[in-house]
Amino acid sequence: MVSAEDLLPEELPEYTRSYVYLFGALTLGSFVCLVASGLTLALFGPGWWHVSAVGHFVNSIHFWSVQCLFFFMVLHLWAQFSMAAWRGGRGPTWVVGALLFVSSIIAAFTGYLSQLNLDSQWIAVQGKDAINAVGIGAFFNLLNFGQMYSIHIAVMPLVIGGLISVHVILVRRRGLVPPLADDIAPGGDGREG
Amino acid sequence: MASRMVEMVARHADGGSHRPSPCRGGVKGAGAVMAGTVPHYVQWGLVSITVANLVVLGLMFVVFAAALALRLPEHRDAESPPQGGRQAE
Repeated sequence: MVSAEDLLPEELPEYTRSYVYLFGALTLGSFVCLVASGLTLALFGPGWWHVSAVGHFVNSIHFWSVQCLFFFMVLHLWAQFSMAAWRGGRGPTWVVGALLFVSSIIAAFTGYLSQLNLDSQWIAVQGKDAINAVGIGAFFNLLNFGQMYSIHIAVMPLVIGGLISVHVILVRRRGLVPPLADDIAPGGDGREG
Repeated sequence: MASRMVEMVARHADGGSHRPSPCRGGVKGAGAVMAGTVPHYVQWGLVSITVANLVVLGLMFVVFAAALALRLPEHRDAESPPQGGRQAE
């Protein structure tokens, strides 16, 4: 698998000395905030997050953590795409990243459906037509709050957490992709070990 | 003016808890983050985007460009070996 030294490296290559390499970690940090605030919201329920001042605050933390997550995840995507980060046998890492992107969208959408206010009702009533149009309306009923809420607080956190674990392990296993310039030299293909 | 009056009435109708009126979000649609505000849209051909969304998009480009342009600060004792633990190879 991955040795302890590779899992928590003490040194990184010089070419990683850039803020661009922080976006993945910032995305992960946002996810941690999401899980923490989401657990709190789940423990106390909508009667709390709609009424109390602290409930409003934790609700806001959860909402803004989502904005941060997508903000940094897209920046991470732009950075990895521009440096062709799938080079050197890192294709699976890219695929898992793409799955994470789609999973995050599903989690965010079910989250917006779980607000238990008129906003979420609007989203459900409008969104059901799109889900029905792609043929999965029989399996995912946006008007079924229980289903949408359960998917949001139980299914998607497990899926996303699992994918993140695989993603990070793959990154640690292969190391950070070297700059494109290194691959342009004759005979160089960026492949390692 | 009328929307502000409705918002004030909604805020104080619940005994001053200042809970956002649920009606605002439903009427204004999913694009409204703040209760009682109307999102302003920017039209460009087929593209229709809220001003807030456009600002966030612009911010993303700015942050990305800044991340490329700015260098991480140099570690003060980069030349000295790490304190404790394994020696870095």
